[in-house]
Amino acid sequence: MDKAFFDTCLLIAYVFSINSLHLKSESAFNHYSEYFWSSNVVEEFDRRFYKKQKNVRSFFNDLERYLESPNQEFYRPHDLINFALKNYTDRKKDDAKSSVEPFWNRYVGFESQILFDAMKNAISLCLKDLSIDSNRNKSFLESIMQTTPQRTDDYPDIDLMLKSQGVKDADRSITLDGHDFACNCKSPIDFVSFDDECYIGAKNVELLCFNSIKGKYDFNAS
Amino acid sequence: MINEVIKPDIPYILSETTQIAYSKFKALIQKIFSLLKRNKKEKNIKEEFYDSYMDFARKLDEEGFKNESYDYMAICAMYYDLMDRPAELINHEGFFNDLFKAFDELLSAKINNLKEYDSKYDEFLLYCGKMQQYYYTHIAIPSEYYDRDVLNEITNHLLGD
Repeated sequence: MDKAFFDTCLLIAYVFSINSLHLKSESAFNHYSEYFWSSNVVEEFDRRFYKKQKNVRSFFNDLERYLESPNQEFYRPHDLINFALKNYTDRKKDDAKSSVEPFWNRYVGFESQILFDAMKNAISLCLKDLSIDSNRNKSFLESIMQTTPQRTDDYPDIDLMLKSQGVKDADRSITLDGHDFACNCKSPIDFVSFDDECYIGAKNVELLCFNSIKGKYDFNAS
Repeated sequence: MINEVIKPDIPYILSETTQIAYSKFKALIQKIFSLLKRNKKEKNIKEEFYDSYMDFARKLDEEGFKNESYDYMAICAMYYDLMDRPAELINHEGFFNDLFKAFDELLSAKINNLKEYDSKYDEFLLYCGKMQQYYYTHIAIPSEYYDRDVLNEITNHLLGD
């Protein structure tokens, strides 16, 4: 039975289907049979989940607020793309533009233009389904993760070593949570971090109790 | 339509028109619960609710409360969705009252104590997020268009790598 302690980046990629990282996170879950997180990971995961959920909704929320402003009766995909072009810049503009086509095809269908009320309804349904999907994923994740016992040791020497390797405060706490759990667990525990700084930093600290330290490059995206 | 004179009922933090839009919205929430409890139906009440919440969301955004506008819309979207299931909406009156109260307190914190606002906002985000998780996991029903592949594609575009 292979066990692993997971960091927040991996879990966020698992829940939100963020391109190649999502497939790698699925691969990590398939590789192990028991998964652990600490209360620090849970807190950070919750915070990042809710912010990302809000980011996903924001394009459609912006669109909803804009829709009545042009005061037109019919809406076409072109109107939504124009909205994205006018209201966003750089990457966000491209991301918003690209999301119009799958949204229109699924929630509007083959119509080339629709009435305002139908448009309003399509956006509401899409927003609801997006929220159901991400929250169902989150709830499923919570059901399969096991929380480690609360760490009582600060491990100041290891903390200093991790700091000297450039690992940030929050990531150091999480790494030490995993280390504490691994030291007190009878079976071997791997540490999997999709955060490059944390992964490289932990790799360079030999005192950590993990059986193995793995990063996103250790898992396939297929 | 609400014909009575609307008086602002939370600390004065916005322009008068926005403040009035918010008070109108809150009065409408009370009116909807009151109608539902008396088993009365009013034509176009759902559209009236949508127009009212969108009006306030736009005004909030225009006055620089963009972030708060998204949070407010997330709460209203759940309410709007549940208006199709009146019995469930009445059962969750406390759920929505708590959320709207928390939103009131967030707005008040923004104007009254900016130093504490960031921690207050984090607290609100976690609270509102947990409530949304409960709603979308246990109460909401997926639409007929629900398709995980399409939703993943949209999410991918909006979040990126």
